[in-house]
Amino acid sequence: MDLEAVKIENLTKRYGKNEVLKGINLTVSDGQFYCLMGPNGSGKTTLTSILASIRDKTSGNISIYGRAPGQARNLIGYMPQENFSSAALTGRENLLYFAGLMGYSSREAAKISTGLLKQVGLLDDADKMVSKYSGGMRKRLELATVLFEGIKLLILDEPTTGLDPAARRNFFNLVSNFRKKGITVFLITHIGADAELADMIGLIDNGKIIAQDSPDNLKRNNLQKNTLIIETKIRDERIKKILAVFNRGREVTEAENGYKISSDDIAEDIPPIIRELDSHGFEVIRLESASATLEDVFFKLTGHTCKKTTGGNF
Amino acid sequence: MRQVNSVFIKTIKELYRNKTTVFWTVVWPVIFLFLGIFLFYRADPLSETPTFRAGITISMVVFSLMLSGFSTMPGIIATDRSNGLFLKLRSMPIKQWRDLLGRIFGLLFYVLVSAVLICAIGIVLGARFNLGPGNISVSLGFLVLATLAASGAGIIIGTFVKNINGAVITGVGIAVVSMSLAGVTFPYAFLPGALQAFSRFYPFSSSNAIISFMLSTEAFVGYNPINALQISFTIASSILLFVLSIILYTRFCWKAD
Repeated sequence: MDLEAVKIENLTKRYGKNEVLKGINLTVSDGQFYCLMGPNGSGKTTLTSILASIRDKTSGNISIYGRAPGQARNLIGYMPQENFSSAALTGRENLLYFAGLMGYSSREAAKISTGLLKQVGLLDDADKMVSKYSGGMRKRLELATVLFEGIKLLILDEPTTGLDPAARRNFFNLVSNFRKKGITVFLITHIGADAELADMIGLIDNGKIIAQDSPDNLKRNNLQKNTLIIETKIRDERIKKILAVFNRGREVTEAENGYKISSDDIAEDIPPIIRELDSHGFEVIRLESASATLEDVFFKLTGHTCKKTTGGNF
Repeated sequence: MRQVNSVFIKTIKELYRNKTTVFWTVVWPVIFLFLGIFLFYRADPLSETPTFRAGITISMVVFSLMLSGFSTMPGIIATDRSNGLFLKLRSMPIKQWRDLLGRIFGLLFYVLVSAVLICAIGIVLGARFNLGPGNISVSLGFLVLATLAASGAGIIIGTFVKNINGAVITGVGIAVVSMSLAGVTFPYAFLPGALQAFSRFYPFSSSNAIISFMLSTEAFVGYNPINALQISFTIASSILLFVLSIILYTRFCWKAD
């Protein structure tokens, strides 16, 4: 049987009368990369903070390598969303500070900090003030603060928010390297591309896990294989009604560059779509097919919440 | 001890690298020291005497320590909270009181260095202190006590006022207003009767009076603060403020909810 890094059973959390987590069950195996996705207000940060022993649960069981979160602090490397490193210190000084908090002597801390700076590619910038670091460099420094000896579970709360694609890729390359050492990763993100890297994804909505599977299975089970985007010369509400027939009667999504429908077989669907639109006087100027992404699954399964929190503008 | 030392080093580096903090807690009291000696007390014939100048110097040391404790400490706490550092610390195997102790030692070090600097400038400007062995130790004791009390006040502000600007402004406001009401920055004799009573029992003005009495002259203080009631009340209220701050910080400051 696999060793369980995280086991959560019937976890609930209430703030007064507001029940934020409603009986969460999930298991993360040792060495697994687990990703939790969910819209704003779905409860993912609350769940994460209970896991990181920052907040207390209301009821249920939670264990990290067989221990209660409060007893597993020396096994957890938690990276909150905010840039928690001190801008008034250098990269090296920040690591020395955290090494000291972990109980290392000055000599040990100096040695360990140099090693960590090397691992995250910041050795050359180690003595620069963090205020001079780019967003990506700062995140890598903060990643280093959760990689001290003995840390077995990384909890990363939206670590790539605000980073450019290159910095994001760089960050996850580092995470992948650390995974090879057997570290378990628990990632919270909104970004589908980041979630694709996970072994297992849990979708949380309104305080419940609504789907949990590998990225491929989630896409396979919750979407058609392809998305077809149809761009017409003019936009008209009637186009949505025509396309709904080809979308198995489901509502057609309006994308920035056209109308979006799901299709089992693009080659078979395209000619009748064009014919039908043409017969109603709507000229098709472009067709684009796209593979399903995790963000599509995310929108499909949590769409009602997204509409609520964004006022429908997504 | 390693955890406390780590927080201590971080705190003093952050304090000394913040030019605004250094200006308002060291340079500004030094400017006031010049103004006090060469402008505000000019009309008083006693202002020419070295011990009177020592009194002005000590007031500026207390002015500096109050600003450091009341505004710098909450500023640091609120900044760390805003950066998510407390969430991070809460997930780590560290006790709140160790983090707090490191912060307090950091501030104490900063205040003592500032005090030495202000006193050195005071001496250059003609101040002369009564450096009897008993005078120095009692004065140092009350300086440390006042710093702990000021840290305590700052910790309480930082614990409950979450916004960075709000925490700093609240600290500056309370420090400046209370200093004025208690006569830390101007003569005790000018205070109305009710405020004179307040001045004797407000821990900072009382410590200021005791240190000034020991190291300068009664003429500067305006009364003799060396009596059992005032001394015991000053010690008790300072310790109470400090202990209360530790309790409140460890219970509420790192709270995520």
